Amino acid sequence: MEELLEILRDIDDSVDYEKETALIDDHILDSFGIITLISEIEEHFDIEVDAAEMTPENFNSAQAMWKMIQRLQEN
Amino acid sequence: MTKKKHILKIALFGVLLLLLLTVASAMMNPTKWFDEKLIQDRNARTVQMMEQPAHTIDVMNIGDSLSTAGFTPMELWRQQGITSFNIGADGLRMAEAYYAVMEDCREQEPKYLLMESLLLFRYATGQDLQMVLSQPLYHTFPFLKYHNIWKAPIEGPGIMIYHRGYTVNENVGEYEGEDEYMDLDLKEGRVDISFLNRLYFDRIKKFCDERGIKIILYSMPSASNYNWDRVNALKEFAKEKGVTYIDLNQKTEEIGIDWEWDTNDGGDHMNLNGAVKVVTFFGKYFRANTDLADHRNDPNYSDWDEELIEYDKLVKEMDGKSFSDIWQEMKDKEWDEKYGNKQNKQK
Amino acid sequence: MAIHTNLYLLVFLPAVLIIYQLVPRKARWGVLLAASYALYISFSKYLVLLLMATAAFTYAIGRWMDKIGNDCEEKQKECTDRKQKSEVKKAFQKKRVTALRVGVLVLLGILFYVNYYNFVAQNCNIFLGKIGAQLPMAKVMFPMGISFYTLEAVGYMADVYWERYPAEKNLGKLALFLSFFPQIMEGPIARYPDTSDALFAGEPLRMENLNEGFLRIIWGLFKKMVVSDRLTLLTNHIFDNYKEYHGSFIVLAAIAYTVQLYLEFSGSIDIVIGSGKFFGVTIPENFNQPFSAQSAAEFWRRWHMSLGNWFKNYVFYPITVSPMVKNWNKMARKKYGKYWAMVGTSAMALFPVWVATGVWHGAGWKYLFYGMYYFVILLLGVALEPLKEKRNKMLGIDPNAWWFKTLRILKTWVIIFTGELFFNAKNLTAGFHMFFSIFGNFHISSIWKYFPDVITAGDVWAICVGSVIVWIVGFLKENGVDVRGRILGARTRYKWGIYYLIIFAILTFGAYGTGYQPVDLIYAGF
Repeated sequence: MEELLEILRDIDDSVDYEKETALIDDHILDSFGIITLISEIEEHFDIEVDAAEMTPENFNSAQAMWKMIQRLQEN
Repeated sequence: MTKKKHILKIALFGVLLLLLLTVASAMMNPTKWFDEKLIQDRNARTVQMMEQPAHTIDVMNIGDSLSTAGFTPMELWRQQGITSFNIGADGLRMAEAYYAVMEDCREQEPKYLLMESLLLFRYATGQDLQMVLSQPLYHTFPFLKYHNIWKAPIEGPGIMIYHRGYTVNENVGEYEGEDEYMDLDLKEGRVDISFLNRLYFDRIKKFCDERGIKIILYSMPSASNYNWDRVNALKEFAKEKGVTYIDLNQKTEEIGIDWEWDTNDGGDHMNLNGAVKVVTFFGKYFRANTDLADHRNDPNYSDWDEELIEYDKLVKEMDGKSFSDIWQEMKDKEWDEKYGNKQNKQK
Repeated sequence: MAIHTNLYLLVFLPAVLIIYQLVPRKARWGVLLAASYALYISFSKYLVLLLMATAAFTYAIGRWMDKIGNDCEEKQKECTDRKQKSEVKKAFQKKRVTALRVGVLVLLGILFYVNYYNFVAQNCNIFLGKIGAQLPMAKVMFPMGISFYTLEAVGYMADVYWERYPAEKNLGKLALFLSFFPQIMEGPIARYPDTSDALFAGEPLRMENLNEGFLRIIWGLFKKMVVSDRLTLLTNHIFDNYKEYHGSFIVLAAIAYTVQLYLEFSGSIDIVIGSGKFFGVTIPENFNQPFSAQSAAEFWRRWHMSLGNWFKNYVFYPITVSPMVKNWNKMARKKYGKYWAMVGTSAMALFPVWVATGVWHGAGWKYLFYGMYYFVILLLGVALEPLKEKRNKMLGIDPNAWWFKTLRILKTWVIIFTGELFFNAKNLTAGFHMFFSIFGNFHISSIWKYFPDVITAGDVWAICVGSVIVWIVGFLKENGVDVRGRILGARTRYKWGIYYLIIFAILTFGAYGTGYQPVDLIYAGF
């Protein structure tokens, strides 16, 4: 989790990721941020994020992202 | 709240809206505005008609721009002492015509209704039903019909002068096509008369029959709009409806239409020259076939003589121009005075 | 019968509402479907068959993909070890991809054919003509709304493919989603879960929905009839006679057209959303004060949002996470560093989005140019981001300072106006002609000197006052004051007072009346 938060802070350090739950809905993370984010988490957690995972629910909060990462790691 | 209460509430909202519209409509007093030439749009003729003394108009002429450009009531007065009025408008449709006839006959009891026949071929795809819906609304709530009146104080009076519904146009645009235009195909050559046009014709007919107004259907000389197909369709239609039909296109020689000088825009609309000739024909026609009165020596109709003087003065002043020419000149002059720059016309 | 006409507002919509309320709850969705097809027939006659076929086809593809999924699970149950299982899954996944591809290709193929066949044939003929061959031109009837319902259908198929929700089992429900009458002309493009349940639920009419819908509709009519329809005359005149104008007039035309398009499009979307609200259906929003945007990217998150979201979800993200782009990204990160990898990936994902956005609007090089215009601007936005941050730090600029924000908003306006200038130009050549003529002979004074007489002083007044009112309401909303919500929350007498005020403003200052040609909906042409 801490690793993920670091990645996020690297993209934009003005956001409180532990509290924010509408990163996508409120456009805090824009589509270009997502591009960087995905390549970073794929590299760090050795997972494949495919098109089916690209929903706001999976990216709206750090918590949700973490859940997705864990789920993808299990597969 | 219960369902019933909700329905009542919605109904109340509607009733209040209708009430407000009625009040607003009652407050509309367009004749008061007309003196200052503030109403220049398509309501202008209707409003001028409202100003005519009651029961003085014997002939009404309805139709689209063909009819209003080719018929000058002042000339008919000069020649025969017959009182007539143009109640048509540019691009008039049958539904609108029905309400115009109805509204204009409130104070008047014309003996004849001249109806230019192009009306019957007109219809705008998809807008017919809209008209069927909106025209009765405009009729019921004049507020809607005259809603543009707020523009008048902002824009000031216009320059158009209506003489019993006719605006003088002396512009000449020679018709350069074939003389035998009746044999040609038309660009926009619909010959069927649509269901709605028939329906509204029947309604006008019924209205006129009840008041003893005789309808004369006629076709204005117009190379751009008539050919044998249309005239034949109209003949049949008139026969079916039991109304007189006169096609002036077959009588252009008798009337003396000169296609070089008598049309405003290359064989579409008549100009003043053409209009005088058309009216001369109708004057003779009325004299020969009807018992329409000659009001020229009747003191009750002295306003017509006064108007005729004004009209003649204007005809002289116009000197080969139309109102749109004059308007353009006015604008040019305004610019020149303001900026003194005659050459720099580029925007 | 378009949704801004009296026939729709005074006859069709009330009739549907009454019938809807009178029939039993279970049959209500049938009323909506019948009404939707009836409205469609009034535009496109027998082409309603294409709409029906699209619904049936989309339905079939969805069910097919579901069936493959179920078969896969059955087969997997027979497997013993994990490896076998994943192999089975792979095999079935292939089948599902095929189903999706068939679905998408057929629907986009039809869309492409009706929009583009003649354009392609024309441009091919330029070359073919040299060797003596000719492609025949086809007389293609344009099925109303095809650009909108096709995207909805494709989105649905993709979501089912990604297992975001199961395929719909009721054909009627899917057919209603694709053809719901307020949305069919110009969207907004909804996603299946957005509206399908509410459409099908048959909720009774509710007073609060009626109020909300009604206010929304009259507000939309105000925007369209008082301001936009009057501006149409001016912009049509200048864009049609563009060679006679230059300098300040072109700037005026670009601004006027942007305002006209915004008020017309957002106004008719207000009517759409209001109509939906009557039946308890919440149709997604399409605009969010687009002129408060501080960048072109933000503008597209606030303008025609449903289209932007569609492209983001079904083109941008899928490309971003496609193996090809990912591999390139990995390689680039190692070779050129994070920054260039990011810029490159953005370019790869943005390019198809903006080609498609341009092409979606119709046939014509100007639309393609319009797409490319935004592609370049958005990509520059991404690429220059670090540079901008550096500049701000060096000059000590606080990016949240009001003057800096205002400057950014103004810059965005210039970008928007320029884009719309090309968008509405007769063709690309005319667009460039107009654009370059801005810089010759620019005199503000010539605007009142040579103002074309297609609209009068009264029109100008109505346009200005109307725009200011719309702007104030938008400004308040942007700053957290929800004017519409406040009106709806007020006591009945005040609420009604405002309703009557808006209605009479429309009836007095609106552009309508005999001899007046009602202005067609702009986006219904796309």
